Amino acid sequence: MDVGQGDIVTIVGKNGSGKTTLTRILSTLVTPERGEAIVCGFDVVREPRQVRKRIGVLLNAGMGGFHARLSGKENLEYYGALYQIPQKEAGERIKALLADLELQDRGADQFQSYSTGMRRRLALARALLPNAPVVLLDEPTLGVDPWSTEQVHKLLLGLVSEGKTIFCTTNNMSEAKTLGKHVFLLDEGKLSPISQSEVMAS
Amino acid sequence: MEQVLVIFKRELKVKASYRLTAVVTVISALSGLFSYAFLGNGAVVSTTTTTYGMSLAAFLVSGVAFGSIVSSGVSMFTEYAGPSQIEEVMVSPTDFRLFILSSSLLSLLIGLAITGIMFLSGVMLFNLIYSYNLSLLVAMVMLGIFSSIGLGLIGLGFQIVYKQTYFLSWLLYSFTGLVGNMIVPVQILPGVLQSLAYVTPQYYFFTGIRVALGSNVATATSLLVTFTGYTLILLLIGFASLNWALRSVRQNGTHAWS
Repeated sequence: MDVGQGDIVTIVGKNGSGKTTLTRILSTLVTPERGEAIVCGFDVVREPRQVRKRIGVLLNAGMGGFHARLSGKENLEYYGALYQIPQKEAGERIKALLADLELQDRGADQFQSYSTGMRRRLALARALLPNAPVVLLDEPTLGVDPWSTEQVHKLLLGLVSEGKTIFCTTNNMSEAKTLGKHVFLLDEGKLSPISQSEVMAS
Repeated sequence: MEQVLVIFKRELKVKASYRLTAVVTVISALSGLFSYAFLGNGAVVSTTTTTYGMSLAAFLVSGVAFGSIVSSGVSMFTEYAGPSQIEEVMVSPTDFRLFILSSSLLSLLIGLAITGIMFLSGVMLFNLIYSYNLSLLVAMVMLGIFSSIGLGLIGLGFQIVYKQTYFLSWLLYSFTGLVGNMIVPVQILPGVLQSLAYVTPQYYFFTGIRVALGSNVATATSLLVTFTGYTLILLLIGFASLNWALRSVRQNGTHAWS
């Protein structure tokens, strides 16, 4: 499968079909048993550090890694440091992302007070914080309400129009339909492209 | 009542599945018992005075106070690589080793501060008399910190792969509490346990601290050389263990386990 710059690719598949594993391979977390994955020209196994400099990742368990007693903003500032973003630049991006994801009023609140959907949106903000050319999203709207989901979709499509490449997995066919110019079905380890009409039919 | 029984049975099943933990708990309890039994064996006071050149109180205070530096050891990094955090760090461009070391810096400083406070309180409250070799003391403290980092990295590798560090913690701290020369002078232990003491980093740390505080139980140079070598080996094993653990979880995908 080849994904060009500025494309958005959606992977659908049953539970256990390997969507998360595929995201984890692309994000250098898991070494593939066979085959090759190249991100921005860098091999995920041989050049993982180069890959990590060019990706933003929302993992399926992406609500994790936030400290319960720090605010959403403080948590993002911490990840800004891990993503090696200069403090001032990180501050500006965090402000913009919190607004884009409708969290600006809750940015100063402790993470433990966030609802499931808010936590997921904060995790998405973390994935977008490095402003990376490639964004890997594993079920980005899991647990997010329909109104915020729409907002997330708008944000992602906006990023694609800016030239970002988005790789997204989902169980939600409606999401695949909204996001997917290119939709693939992952089944028993095999990826097959599916058309919009097939997506709509399912 | 039925509900209580079901919950009880479930807990029993869970606990029974951790057989090693159960064995370790029993041996830890026995180890603690032995520590104090040896201590109370009558010869302790004369041992610390004649062998270490310091009173029993001075011996114990130096052991307990400086114990803060090496007490976290194996588990010193585990809180920073919990199941919910490790993946998020590993997908960032920050080197995992750098992340771990910088995250634990504050804890290390707190450990040092606690040591200082405990030691000074002990000295002032009990009028303890030491003769200070400050440069050796600083060197021993530094080696203690670096050996702890080595042990911490080994523990972290163990946690990442096996998802627990209890066994290692026990092995290195509960057990070596008996033979580590922290509270029980090695010289009053039976021969077999004395031999075991020489393979624990704690033995070199606590003996070195006592020498820096005026004891002539060993020569400073030989302690420094041995402990430096030991620390370097621990650091090498630690980094190798962490690298192996990271490779291992990348292969089987078990970074997060809850």
